Amino acid sequence: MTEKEYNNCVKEHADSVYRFILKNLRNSEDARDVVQSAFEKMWVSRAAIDGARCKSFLFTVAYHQMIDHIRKGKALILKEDAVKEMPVYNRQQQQTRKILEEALSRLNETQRSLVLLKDYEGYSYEEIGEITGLSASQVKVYLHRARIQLKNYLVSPENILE
Amino acid sequence: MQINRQSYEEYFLLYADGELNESEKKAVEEFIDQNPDLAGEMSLIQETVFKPDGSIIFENKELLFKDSSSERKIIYARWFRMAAAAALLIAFSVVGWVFLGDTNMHREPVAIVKPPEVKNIEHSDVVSSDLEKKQPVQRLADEKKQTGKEIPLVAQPEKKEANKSQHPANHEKNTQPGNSDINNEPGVVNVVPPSKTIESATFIQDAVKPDGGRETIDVAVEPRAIENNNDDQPPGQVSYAQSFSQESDDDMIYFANTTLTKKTRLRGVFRKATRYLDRVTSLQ
Repeated sequence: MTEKEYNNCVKEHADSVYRFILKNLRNSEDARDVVQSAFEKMWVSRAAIDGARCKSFLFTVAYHQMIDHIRKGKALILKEDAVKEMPVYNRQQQQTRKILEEALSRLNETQRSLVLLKDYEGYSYEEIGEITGLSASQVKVYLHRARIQLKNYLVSPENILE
Repeated sequence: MQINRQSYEEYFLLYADGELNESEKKAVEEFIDQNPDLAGEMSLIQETVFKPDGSIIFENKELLFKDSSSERKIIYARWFRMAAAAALLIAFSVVGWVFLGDTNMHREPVAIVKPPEVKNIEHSDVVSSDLEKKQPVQRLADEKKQTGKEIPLVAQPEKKEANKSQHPANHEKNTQPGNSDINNEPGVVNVVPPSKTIESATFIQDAVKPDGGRETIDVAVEPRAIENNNDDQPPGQVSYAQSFSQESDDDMIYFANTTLTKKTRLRGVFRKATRYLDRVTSLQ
């Protein structure tokens, strides 16, 4: 990877990596630290990285750093500013979004990462498996379980949509 | 692919994950049409798919960019700063060494010399030197007449670091007894900075032996003959100033009301220049 390819990777993928980490950690400062660290590692290892695969490398490094960050016991503080309110034009959509965010926070870090990698980045089961160190079948099973859990939270008695 | 009311959930999840091809998607859609009660189930599963929030961005992306050329400049600047700091430190050290050496004053009164009595001495007894014309004191004149030989009036400095004054009229040359340039003649003594007062202007009452011991001896001081420009004295009569011959610029100890300074090269140069000018301009 050349310096130019590295800088292009920053422009194209810094936001998506940050968004993915932020949704998992729910702390903007921690998310920035993880993203900066991931890019720094990629810069150090740029000689061994193909420019076309910088995104998967970046997400892999960021994911593992995020997991390490969580397992070190650092508190996940739900900050209001960590989740920006999208401009919604009806109350129902705003309500649904809020419930989903709560449901996502109830997942474990692996399930949450799988859901976000799948929904935010559109990775295949195999690609997600490479990033997280799981097999494709494991990714499929864990992801399906996560969606069922999210669905059940949506239809729980306290969250019945009007 | 066989979708039915027992396996539909898996296919619905695969559909939501986007893992089905076009034909498989069409088959799932047909199944839902055939089983409209399961449409709500499909809708809920699709609700669990998150959409990326485009408003969340990594601010100040320039912090992540890399520029190899700027990194090299930083290293260069660091080395440059270090080299400049080292050069300044060396320069200040040298300047400080020079000035501290020059200003290292050793104040030690060597002797208090009373002004000598002015005597009328015959011109025939005047001894010339490279620096000035001298006349022996009365005592040496007597000795000379008695012994018939010159008695040098030199004294060796006890140390090279002996303090000196710049005034040419206030120093005395010393040599070690038995080790002088005038070959072991008597009367040559070491003159050290005495701790006691010299009673007579013409005598120094302390000396250092070659073995380091001290003894009290008398050393004559040569007065320097100067022209008498005073109208109240008869012509031909000379007056005498208390002065010392100087045969070595660097081996003199200066007496009486002079501040003694540590010899340095710079001071030596200045002293030589001063003496040269003094020789040129001194009255004979």
